[in-house]
Amino acid sequence: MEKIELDYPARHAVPRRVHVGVVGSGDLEVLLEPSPDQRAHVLVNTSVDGFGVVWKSVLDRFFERFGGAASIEINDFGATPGTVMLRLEQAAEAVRA
Amino acid sequence: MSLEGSSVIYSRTSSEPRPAVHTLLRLRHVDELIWEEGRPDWAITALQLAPWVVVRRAEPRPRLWPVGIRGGLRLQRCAAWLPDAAVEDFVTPEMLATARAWRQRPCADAIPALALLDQVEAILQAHGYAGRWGPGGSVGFELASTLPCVSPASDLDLVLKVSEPVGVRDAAALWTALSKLPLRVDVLLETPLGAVALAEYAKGKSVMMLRTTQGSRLVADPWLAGTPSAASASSAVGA
Repeated sequence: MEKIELDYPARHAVPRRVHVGVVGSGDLEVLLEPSPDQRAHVLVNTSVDGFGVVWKSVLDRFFERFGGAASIEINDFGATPGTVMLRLEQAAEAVRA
Repeated sequence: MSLEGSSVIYSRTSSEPRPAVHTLLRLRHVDELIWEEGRPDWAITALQLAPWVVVRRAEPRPRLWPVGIRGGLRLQRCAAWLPDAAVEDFVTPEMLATARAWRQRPCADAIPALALLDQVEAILQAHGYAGRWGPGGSVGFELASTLPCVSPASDLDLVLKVSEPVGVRDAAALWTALSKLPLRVDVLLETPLGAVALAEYAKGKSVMMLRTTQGSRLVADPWLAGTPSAASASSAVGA
């Protein structure tokens, strides 16, 4: 079990709370809620240790485009980077919907 | 290394189903594996302990199976290709369930992921899935290889073959029944197009994640090819 915390600048507010994904092998859940400050805060709880660099690269790429001031909690159960990005995009889409 | 009890051993004959994702393959020799990115020492050690690999979700190449190698640690997973001719034996999760292979494991009583399989079987039979389900993950690996790798804290991964659409209400009823078991059960519904988590499908939401041989994508119906989103996980990240 490893915890990773990252912070990103934000450009706009996030209107609502969303929850996507599932708790399950090779998958993850993303809980996203409006952040009180003008920044994005990410907390990753992952069952697989040693992938900090890959997490940072995936999250850097996501936040370059997302720009929302959100607190995001990710509970990961060994998802691939591609699946992580897909779930993050699903959460971003759900926020806009 | 072979399966305990003749009822679990299957030879490869033309009447057997083709090995699909989650199928466990026993390899003839480690040197016949074609490694995707290097050949880690832990993988060689693991294969010496149990010469079994798992078919992973990737497009098969001609006469080559996409396989994954599991080590003792969670992060010890690597990808390789196994030539068809180097497959000595195979066993699918459904075969393990049909043979009730868990009943032959020593110390199964102390390990919920093995001890509860009789109850899991009863639930799946009651919901009409007899012969279409089986254990995957570490449980499937242990039952095929007989190498102890399931711990008292292990979750139970199940694979359910559903070639025809399942109603959300039926899926939710099955999920509710499995959720009452005193351990975490992850169920993948394997459709002809890929796999969706039962936990996600049973929620009845308009979008869900389908795992396919070309990566994961968001779909509205895991039995239909149409997607509500162009997002494709395989192209999203290079790592």
